[in-house]
Amino acid sequence: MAVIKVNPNRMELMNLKKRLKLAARGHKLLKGKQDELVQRFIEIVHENRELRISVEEELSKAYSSFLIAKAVMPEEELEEAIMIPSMEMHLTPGQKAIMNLRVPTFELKAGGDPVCYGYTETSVELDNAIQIFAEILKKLVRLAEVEKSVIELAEEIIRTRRRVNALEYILMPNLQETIKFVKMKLDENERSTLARLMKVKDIVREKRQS
Amino acid sequence: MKFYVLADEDIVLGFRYVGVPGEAVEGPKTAKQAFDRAVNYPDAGILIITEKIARYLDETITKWELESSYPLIVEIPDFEGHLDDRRTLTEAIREAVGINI
Repeated sequence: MAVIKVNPNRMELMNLKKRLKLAARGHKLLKGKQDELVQRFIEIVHENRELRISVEEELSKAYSSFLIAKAVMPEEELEEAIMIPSMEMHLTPGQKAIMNLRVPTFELKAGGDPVCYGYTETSVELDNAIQIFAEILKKLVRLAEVEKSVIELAEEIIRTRRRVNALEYILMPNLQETIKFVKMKLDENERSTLARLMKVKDIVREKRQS
Repeated sequence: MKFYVLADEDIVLGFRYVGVPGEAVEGPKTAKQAFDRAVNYPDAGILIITEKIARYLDETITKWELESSYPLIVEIPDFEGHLDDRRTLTEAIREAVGINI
């Protein structure tokens, strides 16, 4: 470990001790933050996994009814049915804080009737597929939020971990080493002063005697 | 804000029914351009993209997800279901963080 370059005096020693105390406190706090972040991360990853599974299931349902609808209906009518889609999806963005991290949230507002065409020319499967698609969108919104949160949390965890490690393995040992160095230097000075004083005393005594 | 879809023709059609605009992507070449158009689509909030297309754009998407705010990107499987060899970004991140659940 490297010793920080300082003048070995009492003033510096005091400063160093203060810094070490501060570093230890920061380390403890950051460590706590990291633990909590990981906890949240695990929760959110779980939610993400469940959501993903359910979305994938429903999507495959939607696809199959949509494909059937496509098969039983002539192409033109299928296209015609959505010439004027009456449904509109609106997302209102917002923000949520997870451990001081801002993650985006959305509120989905669906306007209009999904089934906006005449019933005579279209098939039941199409209606079904559309209904499921509309349902899926709700979940997709949540999924998007959750995935973004996962990314943000992961970044924050990595950042925090780096800081914790920097404190734990570099700054704190360095400070401790330096404090030790300064203390030794001070002791050394003291001893040399003492020795010098004794020597001076000896000389003085010799002079008096002679 | 709005949704936007990048997928193959049929899926885009499907989402059109529920009022979600989108663009059909055929191959790797058009994918990049389509992606650029999609993220610049006015007021795009969430971009839905199929895994097949996302595969062409791996780097672009990762970069986007880490650096930009909107739109958020969601990958969905297409007609053929979830691609086996495809790892989602979330999984990749979970590994990077080093937490096994």
